[in-house]
Amino acid sequence: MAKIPGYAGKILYVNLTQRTSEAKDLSEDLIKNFVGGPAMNARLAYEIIKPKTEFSSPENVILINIPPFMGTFAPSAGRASIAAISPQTNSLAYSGTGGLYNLKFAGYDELIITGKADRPVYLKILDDDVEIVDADDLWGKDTMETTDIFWNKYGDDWNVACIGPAGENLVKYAAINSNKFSLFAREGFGAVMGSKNLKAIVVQGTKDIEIADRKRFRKVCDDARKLLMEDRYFGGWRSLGSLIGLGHFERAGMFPVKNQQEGAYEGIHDKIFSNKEFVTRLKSGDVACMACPVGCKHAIKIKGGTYDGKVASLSCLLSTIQTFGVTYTIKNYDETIVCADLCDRYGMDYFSIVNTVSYATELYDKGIITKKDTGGIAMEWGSPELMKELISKIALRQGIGDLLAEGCYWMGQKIGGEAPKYAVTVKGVDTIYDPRVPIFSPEMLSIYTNPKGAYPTLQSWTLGTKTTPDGLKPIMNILGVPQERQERILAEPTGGNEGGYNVPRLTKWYDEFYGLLDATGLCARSIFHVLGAERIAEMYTALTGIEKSSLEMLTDIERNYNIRRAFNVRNGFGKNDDLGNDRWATETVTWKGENYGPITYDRIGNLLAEYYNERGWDQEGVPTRQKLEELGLEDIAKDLEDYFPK
Amino acid sequence: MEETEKTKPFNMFIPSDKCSGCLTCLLVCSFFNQGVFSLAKANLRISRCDEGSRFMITFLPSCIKCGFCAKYCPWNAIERVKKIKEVK
Repeated sequence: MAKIPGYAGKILYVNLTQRTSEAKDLSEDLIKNFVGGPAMNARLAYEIIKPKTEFSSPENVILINIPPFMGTFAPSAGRASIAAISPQTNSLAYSGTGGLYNLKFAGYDELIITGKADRPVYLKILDDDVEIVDADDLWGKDTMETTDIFWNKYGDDWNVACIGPAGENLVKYAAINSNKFSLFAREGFGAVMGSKNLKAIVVQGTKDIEIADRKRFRKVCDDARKLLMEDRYFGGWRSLGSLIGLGHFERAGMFPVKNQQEGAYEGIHDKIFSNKEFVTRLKSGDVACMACPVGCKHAIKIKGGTYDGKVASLSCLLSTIQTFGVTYTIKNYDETIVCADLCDRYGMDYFSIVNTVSYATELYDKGIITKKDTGGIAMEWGSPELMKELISKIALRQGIGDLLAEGCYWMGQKIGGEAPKYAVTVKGVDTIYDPRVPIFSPEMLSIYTNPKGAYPTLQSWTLGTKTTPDGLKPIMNILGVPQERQERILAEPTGGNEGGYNVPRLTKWYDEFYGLLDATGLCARSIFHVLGAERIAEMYTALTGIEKSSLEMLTDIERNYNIRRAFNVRNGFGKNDDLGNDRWATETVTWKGENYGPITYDRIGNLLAEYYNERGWDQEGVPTRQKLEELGLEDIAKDLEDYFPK
Repeated sequence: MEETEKTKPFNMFIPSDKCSGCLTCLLVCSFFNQGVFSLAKANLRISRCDEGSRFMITFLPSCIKCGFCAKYCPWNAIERVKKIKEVK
């Protein structure tokens, strides 16, 4: 097969058990029907990973995809994708990170790692030279030390993706750190690497990426870059990164507190975590992923106070504040940064560690666990000293850390009794927002429906914002929603506080647009949504020479969603796993003196029925034979035969 | 060389510590001068300092001073100054 421009054209298979590697051609079917990113990973994972594979089994597989726009100057095309069985869901999960672009220059669109090494190793890739190297001397080192060791050894233009002690100890929310500033953060991919005794992947590449139509690609990318850099939010994004959302999120009631027992407290963005203080006292420089004109990551150097001179490489300040600062209530900027930095060094996801510690603190307050369970520790809210102690104990699985390392869902199952009903999870994954307080938008519904567990797909214009039908039309045009679907979304508004449109039907299209960004390698941050499906399709055609409309590309992503759903069905997931949890369904939450929720199981069930209908799934959320065949997924329709109505 | 723009000789200048490490300059360099995207074939390099949190730009001797890296740098971390004609 002739190489298709924009793609490197190869998959690199690495077997850690046998210590072998082999490069194979990337098939035309994968390129033309799955684009790249999570979509390509899902198709391959469905074929390679057997149903009900455990996350720590050597049969679990790590799939890393470098999507087609990565390695080009398409603005913000810096996002690689990973997939594997997650320790949190025990089903197929995915995550994205700004790094590992050198894989593409080494000649690979996809890296597939199977098996388990018999001792600690790292994977070294330099073009066609692939080596599995012993790494006993690196085991136990933190992510920053490990990265520095590789940069000193091979050069600081090598990509390094590594785990820290948390991944080695199979903490179920261990992260993979990429070049210090980026993370495959959520869902425990670090633990999957740890289970394979794989400390790091280090990559350099010297090959070329071809372009089908240079003139057209340059023009469409120049236009896209101009659009972004003239956007009214560009300056804010450049200066503040994700913190640009802090005030908006606070006003919209997005931040949960104390394991979602309370709504957010007052004074978050304007007093305790002020943007002025961030810019003048904490930030030392902007850091960008590949080809990104925004640069939302931050080099931190604290000026003054206890931590004067401390340097930290943080990927997302909004997450830092939301988790350590708001959810766990450490009301001190420097301490939240120090906690986040410690987490990064051990290699863990901020959301899951804070949600787990918060869950345990609530259980302690309720007397469900006691000092006997915590090893004598008095659990309390807002203590930076305790949080730092727990971060270390969790990463090393020492004392109470061993239980906390299981994450909310599995910890609840282990404790038993009343505990599971306070675990605020969906499909085993702890949640970053409480959907009871903000305006119920597609972002909120996708927390329930996302095949990978409790995580919103596209976080966009409707997040915490009431949107009128007139306001929604241009948004739907940008997302590429076909006219006849737009009419139905507007004609059948759902009740409650959602605004005048059909939330579940629009959610399907949010999923698809988000998937399109992921599949091409574009960043999913909200500022990049203005690029729109049509322009993305034109960029894709100019780069690859494959003529595709925006709707055709969105259909490729629909294929991805159906495969992910089928994967979950095959692993025993059904409608019940989309219903959320007892806290959301049965309890109210108070924010600024008002009560919100619950979102009852009946109500969410009604919304799911419309979402499934928009997707062409049956009322149990199983993709129908007709839908799968329409998408050319006949093999998957055959697999799901037992789940179809007789 | 990209066919739509003529080579213009510039003096390249790195004014301050503005580089964010996005590598746009390397991608632009290889695109306009080699017709492909390649980090290896670019005529400049980005290296790291301050524990990997800041970045330094270095031009290789192969740089032809076409100025595209400066034109495209989103941080204005590279500036180009048009060469003044020598008057005899």
